[in-house]
Amino acid sequence: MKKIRITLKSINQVHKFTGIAVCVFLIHLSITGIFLNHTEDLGLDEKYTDSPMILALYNISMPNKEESFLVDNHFISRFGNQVFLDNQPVFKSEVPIIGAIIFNQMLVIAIENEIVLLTEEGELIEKLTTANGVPVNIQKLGAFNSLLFLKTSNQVWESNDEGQEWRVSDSNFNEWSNEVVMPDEKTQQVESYFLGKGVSLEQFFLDLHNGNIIKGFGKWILDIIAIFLLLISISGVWIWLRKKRY
Amino acid sequence: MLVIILLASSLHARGVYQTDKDFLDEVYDNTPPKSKRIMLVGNLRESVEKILDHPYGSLRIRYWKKEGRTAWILEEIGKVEPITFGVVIKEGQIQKIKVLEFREIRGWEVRYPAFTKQFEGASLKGTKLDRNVDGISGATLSVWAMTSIAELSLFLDEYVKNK
Repeated sequence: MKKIRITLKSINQVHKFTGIAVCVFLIHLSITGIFLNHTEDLGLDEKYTDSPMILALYNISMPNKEESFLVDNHFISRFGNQVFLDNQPVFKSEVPIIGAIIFNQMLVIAIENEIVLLTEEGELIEKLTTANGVPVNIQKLGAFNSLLFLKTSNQVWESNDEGQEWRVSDSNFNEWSNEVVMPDEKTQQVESYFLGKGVSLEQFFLDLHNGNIIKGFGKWILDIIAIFLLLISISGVWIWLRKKRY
Repeated sequence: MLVIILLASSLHARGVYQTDKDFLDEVYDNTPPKSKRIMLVGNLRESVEKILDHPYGSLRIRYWKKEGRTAWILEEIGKVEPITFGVVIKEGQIQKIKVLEFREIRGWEVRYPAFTKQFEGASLKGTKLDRNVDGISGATLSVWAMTSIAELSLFLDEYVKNK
């Protein structure tokens, strides 16, 4: 069996290669360390980033904007499966909103096979389904005087008791609730529900520094770097002592 | 492979097991009565909140009554998403309880008749069930949700009887 001999040359090799391996990480640790050391001076704890790339690292994302309707200066919108009254979440729906109107001081929202009744403040009163006689495959929603109207694939329906009972209508009602474009300012208000303020720069630099930015194995990478730093220190002292002897 | 099987089974567990309409048709032999409604206001709202430990999700609850039986379609949060239950009460006892729609990824085992059978014949003792319900490992929150809905529907049945 070949005997392994620790020579100055082999220690020099270890020192050299661990030095190259850790130098990038040392630069990274030094820069993030300087930022963390001056968190308060730089105001990092009060500054937030909403960069999509950084937010994605924290699993924070904005769902797709779906439909939006304007009702009495209030926007009813759906982002992902969450329905909002302005920026207030009110209920969830996997299927699109067909229409939204105000009727008898209630918000009436139609989705495919359901009518959702909300108070003007956004509190859920009730969801009316096919079990309550609501027609299926709703395509349009509207109201006129004391009547609610629904349009399905082949018929128009009307109700005079807040959607409790529906009958086929013979009226030529045609003022349906239609989608509108939600202004950017209103969209940003909803965004804050999902994104909050964003991520504080202090948190971001801390997670960069300690490796937590890479979920799962980030801290193990930092552990390996720490072992390399131990190796470089020990090998450095070893080389210095050997050189001193000669 | 195991992960794929487990993921597929949990996704398969989510969904509508029975529509509200089909549930009522089943309960009332295809001739369900017209629905009635209760507004959750005042003392009633407080009592409901006490049973659930939180306010009910809507201001109005609908029920169906025919031939001495009341049917209730109620929702309660499991872990994150609401579970829709159908409950039938006769003479102050649960005749049937079913999961109509399940939206969570865990805890769907409460749908099995072997589990729901425990509720049959249960009545109220105060505001709690007159019996202990055996839990299911990994479905604790769904079991709690079903128990709360059983208690709530018995309480509401008593309320509409005395109204």
